Amino acid sequence: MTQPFSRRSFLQLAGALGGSAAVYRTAFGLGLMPSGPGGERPDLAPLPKTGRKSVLILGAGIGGLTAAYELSRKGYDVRVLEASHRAGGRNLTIRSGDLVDEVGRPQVCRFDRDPDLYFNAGPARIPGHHTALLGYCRELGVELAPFINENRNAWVQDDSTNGGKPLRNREYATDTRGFVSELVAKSMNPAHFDADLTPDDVMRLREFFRQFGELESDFSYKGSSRAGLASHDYTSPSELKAPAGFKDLLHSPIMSTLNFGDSYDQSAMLMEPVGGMDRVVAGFMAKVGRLVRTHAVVEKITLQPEGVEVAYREKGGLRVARADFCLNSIPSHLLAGIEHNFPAEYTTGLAAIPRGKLSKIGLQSRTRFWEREGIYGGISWTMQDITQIWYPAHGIHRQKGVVLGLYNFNDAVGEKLGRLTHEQRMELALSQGEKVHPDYRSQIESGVSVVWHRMNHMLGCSARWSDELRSQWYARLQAPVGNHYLIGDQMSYHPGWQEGAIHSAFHALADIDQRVRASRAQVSA
Amino acid sequence: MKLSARLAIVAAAWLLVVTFSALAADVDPGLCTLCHGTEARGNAAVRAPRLAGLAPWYLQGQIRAYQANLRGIHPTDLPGNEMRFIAATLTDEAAVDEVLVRFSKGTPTASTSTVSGDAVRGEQLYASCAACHGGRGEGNESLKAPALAGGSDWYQLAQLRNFTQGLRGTEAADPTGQQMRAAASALPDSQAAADVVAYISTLRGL
Repeated sequence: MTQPFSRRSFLQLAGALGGSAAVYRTAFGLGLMPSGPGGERPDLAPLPKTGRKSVLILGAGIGGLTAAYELSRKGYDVRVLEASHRAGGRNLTIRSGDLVDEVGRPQVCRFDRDPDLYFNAGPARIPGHHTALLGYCRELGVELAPFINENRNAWVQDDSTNGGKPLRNREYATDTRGFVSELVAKSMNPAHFDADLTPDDVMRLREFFRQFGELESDFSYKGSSRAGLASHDYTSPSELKAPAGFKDLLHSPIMSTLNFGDSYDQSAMLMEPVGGMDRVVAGFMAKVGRLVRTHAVVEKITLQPEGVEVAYREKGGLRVARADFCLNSIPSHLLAGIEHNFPAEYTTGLAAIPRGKLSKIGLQSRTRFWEREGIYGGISWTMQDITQIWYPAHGIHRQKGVVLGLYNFNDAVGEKLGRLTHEQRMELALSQGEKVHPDYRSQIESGVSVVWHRMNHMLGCSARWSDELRSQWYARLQAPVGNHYLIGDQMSYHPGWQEGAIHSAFHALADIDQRVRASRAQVSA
Repeated sequence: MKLSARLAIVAAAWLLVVTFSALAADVDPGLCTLCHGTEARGNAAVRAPRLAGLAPWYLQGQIRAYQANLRGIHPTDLPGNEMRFIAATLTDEAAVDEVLVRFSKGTPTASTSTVSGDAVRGEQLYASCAACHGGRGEGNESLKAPALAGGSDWYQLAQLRNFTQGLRGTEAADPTGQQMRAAASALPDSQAAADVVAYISTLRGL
């Protein structure tokens, strides 16, 4: 008894074959799902006017700003010291006239002055399950728009595939799926499964793969309209594209990108703030900006019996600040070079965490040529150093736009980019981008390169925790030393995501709250 | 023109001169301490060696070497490349020297040992190093041999490897670098470098 699957039974089967259960397990394993009081925004006990506590926050990134916001509205005396010229940390949106403060090689952004001409050089996506950050967006009035991560009309390109010419994402994805489905449907052998499959089950699975890959009745793959059409004028019959060669697809490294958009943090629905990711920073700064001092460079941190003393340089002079507590989001690799009286093994841990070397290049284009290629938002992939080209989903059909011309997350490539001058990086972005869009070079007017491990007061992107380093150091560094807490996305299982930074602050705040409550109970007892 | 107006102009001009000369003579030590640490005691986490306590002539010589593209030019010498780019921005020699002298007066903290080697074997191997760097690792200015005592062991090991692998000391215009490359290449095996460094860690200088 073989019947074509209804849509509903298809969805049921798809869910059963992985789906939400697997997604949930993965999320739980990564510590993303709130599993107790530790994961929520802590409900800090408000402090009375007498008996206030002071907190010094080092670093005005998302972790530091979260802490400043939560503490200040509960009656804590808060000061934030930020070494650079701006708040936000790696939450950085670059527009016309902005300084890109690379050590020894500063750039100034030469984009046209226009509200749509910007790019996010740090975090750029907010997954729908990053509830803490989304909660702040709601609370701080940060307007959001959908972020387009995956676009089937965008390109994939590799020198070894299709003679180096780009293919539409949909063509590559559809043909790969078609061939894989054919292979599975034809070679499926119940004896190879651990599960107890009846002949009827096998039939159902074959049927599933026929639909999954859009196979013919004999389970062969002969092409699919999902790949786009060879000819298509809407008033006469359309013609399927001939499928790409299976071996060609199989040997192409593009295969590795196909599941990128399936991961928990990369799959729909993703959001982005309207006008740039730094609207989140602006939202926080509207509340706590008066507490933040920029150009304040920490030189020494001294743990004291009853608090923490911090010496910092501001306008050429050395100043000293004392507080009951210190929340420190200075990147661990920089903190390792700052004078302090931390315990020796804590110091060893700080220096042990490798720093990420991610980079981005934003390019202003004189026309939105990608839209004439049917690309509205989303990402093209290429197996070159530039890795990805992002198309803005804002300002659609306006004349100009800023594309992200490079997004590299391979540290070896990051080091290579670090050795190049900005002009050399631009040439790299143009010469590699030309393989995706032949007219690329003539379109690009100006660009900005952000190589995070060369940025002043950062010298690194997201912390590169390994499982081994986690088991060795994470708990030690997460626990306070005296009244000093290490925070920031580095102190989360989600480095590189703002949600991680926020939760690191929550974790420290919950601990401080507990200590303050305990000490007040003691006083009143 | 009234006297007060003329005075104001003179004062403004004087202010301008002072401001500009102050700007010109200004090297932000923060540019150095960002990587090398607040007290220039080095930061292994970003591969920046200790500067504190090193002789000014040595620090100056290395800045000049970077500026003259004699050091930090090999593509795989990543920290060297980074330092060369920074050195290229340090155009005010007098101001740079002032900062370097300040660093040289700093006190290095006791370095924690990160290199495991056989210090006993290292002591024997060090005999040939002592000719230039001194028996106690105190250095010798006339030979342009820097002090080694109190240095970061990870850095010394990395530099010995840079010399032997041709990442440093290859340029004809860098005779002391070439000498050091020859000396490093004379170490019998790869373990020897770690052994020498382990021994150097026991030296206390003058």
